[in-house]
Amino acid sequence: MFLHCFRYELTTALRERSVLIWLIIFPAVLAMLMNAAFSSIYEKTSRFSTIPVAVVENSPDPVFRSVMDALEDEEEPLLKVDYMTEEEALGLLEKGEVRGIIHTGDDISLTLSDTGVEETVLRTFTDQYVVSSAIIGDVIRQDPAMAMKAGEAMSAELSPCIEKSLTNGITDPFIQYIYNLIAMVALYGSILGLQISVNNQADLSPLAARKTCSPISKTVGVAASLAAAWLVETICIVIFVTFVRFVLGVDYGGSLGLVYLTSVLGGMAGVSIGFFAGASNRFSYEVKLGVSMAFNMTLCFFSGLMAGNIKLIIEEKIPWFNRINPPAVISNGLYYLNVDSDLHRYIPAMAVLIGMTLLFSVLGAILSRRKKYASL
Amino acid sequence: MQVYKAFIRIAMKKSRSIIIYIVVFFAISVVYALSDTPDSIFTDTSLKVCVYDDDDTAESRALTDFVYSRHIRSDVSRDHDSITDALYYGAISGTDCVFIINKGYSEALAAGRTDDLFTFYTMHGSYQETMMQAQLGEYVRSVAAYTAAGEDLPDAIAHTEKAVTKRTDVRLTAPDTGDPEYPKMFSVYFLFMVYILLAVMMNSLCPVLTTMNRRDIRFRTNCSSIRPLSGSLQIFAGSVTLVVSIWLVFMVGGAVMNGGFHGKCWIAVLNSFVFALVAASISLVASCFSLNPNLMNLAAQIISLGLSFLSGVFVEQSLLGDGVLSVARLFPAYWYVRANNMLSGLDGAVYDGAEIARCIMIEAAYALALFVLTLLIRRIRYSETALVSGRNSEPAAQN
Repeated sequence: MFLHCFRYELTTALRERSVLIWLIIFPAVLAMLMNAAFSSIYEKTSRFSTIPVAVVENSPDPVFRSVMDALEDEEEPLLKVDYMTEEEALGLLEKGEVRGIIHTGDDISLTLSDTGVEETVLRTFTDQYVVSSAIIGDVIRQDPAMAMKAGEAMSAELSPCIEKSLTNGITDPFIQYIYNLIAMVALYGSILGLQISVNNQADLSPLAARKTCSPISKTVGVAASLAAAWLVETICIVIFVTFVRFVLGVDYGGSLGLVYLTSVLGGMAGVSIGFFAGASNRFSYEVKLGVSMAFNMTLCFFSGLMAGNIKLIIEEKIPWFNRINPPAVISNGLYYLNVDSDLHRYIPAMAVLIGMTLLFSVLGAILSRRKKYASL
Repeated sequence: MQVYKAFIRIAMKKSRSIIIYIVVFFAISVVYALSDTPDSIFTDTSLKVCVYDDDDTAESRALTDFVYSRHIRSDVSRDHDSITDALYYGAISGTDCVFIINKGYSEALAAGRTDDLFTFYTMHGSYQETMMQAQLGEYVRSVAAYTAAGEDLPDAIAHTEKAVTKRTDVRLTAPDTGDPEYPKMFSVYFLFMVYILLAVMMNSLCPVLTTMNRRDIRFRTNCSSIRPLSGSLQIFAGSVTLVVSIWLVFMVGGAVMNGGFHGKCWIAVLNSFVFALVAASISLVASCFSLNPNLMNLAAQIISLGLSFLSGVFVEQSLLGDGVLSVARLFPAYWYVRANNMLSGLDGAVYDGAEIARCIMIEAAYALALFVLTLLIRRIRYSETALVSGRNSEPAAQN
């Protein structure tokens, strides 16, 4: 009987065209757009690359020129320097082809067109030159004999920093938006969960009325419906994850198998939450759907789908919410797979998802039982 | 005017979603306006930095104070997971740098050794890390110079603290206040109008036109005493009324926010009007296909979000990849955003009157082309032959 019900529930779910739209097409289009828009932001704004700069020599300064030449010879130079007249430099600055103009002469000065990190790096560089000159002047005033030693110390090669890498994963934080998109698709599984509840509440649909008066155990019927919904959600989310990975070429970081597992577990939790939400009241399908979608999107907002830093703020203020908010748990699971070298944070997150799936499925089943109707 | 009245009545029934869009748009615009702080002088970018002082000496504390005097202190729990999380989100809004002042820092400095003084946690290889390391290098180099000149460490640090206050003079070529006639803050209002006009037009015009095009209503209109040309003109007049009304609402809102329109603002107003026509034309094309509400909603979301993402509304055009920009040039929204950026200097664009005129004309050409396309589709789908033979593939009317 279970298999019989399962087959029909599966057919019913697959025939629902809105499922295909909201669980595959809409997220796939959104993923394409996000990928197109965000794919180059990290490279362009965060990762260090050589800063183009123009130098205008008001009077020849061989020392400064030698510093610049030495700088350009480095493997990954800080600056790319071009010497030119002031008019040329201002033209390039206006077009954005150089980030700043260094004026050399009696005093070193900068002309910039904007305020930002690159400009501050540029100022830090010229500050070093200004400070060095000040220190040498200071030492000469106090003890000219020591000026040579101070100069040597100023120009010595320094390596005061030991670098310690934290992860071998993808360091582009904008991948978070894709993680949250997967979490959104998982939560959209609640549409399927709501359909289960509507198809089991005899006052809400003719199908439910027919099922209610059939000689079949409610538990078996609900279990078959849940299994079918889980399967449909699994198919949808696997298609979506595959599309993003292999068609859009987004690297999730971490093991792809575990990415699939996380998405599937998230999808099952989404279905169960929808089933519980649907079974807990007798509102019409439209009302259930409207409230559920609004609630889901709010949860997705708190996990960072619309604003990437919101999860950090919640982590600071109410960290427990990030441990139980389903989309945050899913996106965190994917994040842990990416940045961690082991599964010490991933396993508890998945345990929470499995726990939610069981809890909401059981609660939904309990609420679906022993319903009485005065008339149908 | 029967058809026109019916059109307006249906439009009024669909007004709820339009009002939601408008209210949300105005709320976001006001929040954005309040957060705008124009820069007229150069200010250093401050990083969010976390320092762990393992040396815990007067010298290391002096360095910590120096770092926090230039940057914002960020407290991060000292465990691998917390540091990873803080730095990972650095590019969005987390912590930019975390480093340790190693044990033995002051002894090493006193002995003139400058290697391996700090342990720097790295994630991105970012500008922020480069900047922080350069500033630490500058500090250490200065202390080393003074100690090499024979000063003891406390004096060297005291002199360094004084020396590092010397900064390069900076001149900003164009103060970042935007064009006074069309400030950047206000141009963002017009920038987001791409999304809102597309979303509102598609969610308002399409359902009304789809309803008017429904087979039963169209048959009823066709067999009435109203001439077909008159009926079409009344629908057209209804569409124009709706489009202009929606556009006017945004213009009035904009005028209130900006205290009226001046100078270049009027070009932005013209630009937005032409784009409103483009949005209306796209809605006219979409409505020809008589999609069910679910599919129409999907189409509206995809078109409005898609054009906004690709054309530089949500992400600046300068940050989009070359491939994306090549595709974006095929869409009218790209030309709207380009003209808008040139008008205000947003995204580093430079004002060019001829280029702005070209952008607006390209938008107008799109509007015209889409309108002609609508006429063609309607001619094919709703031709008399199709009606008589019943080969129309539209879904049956639903109540």
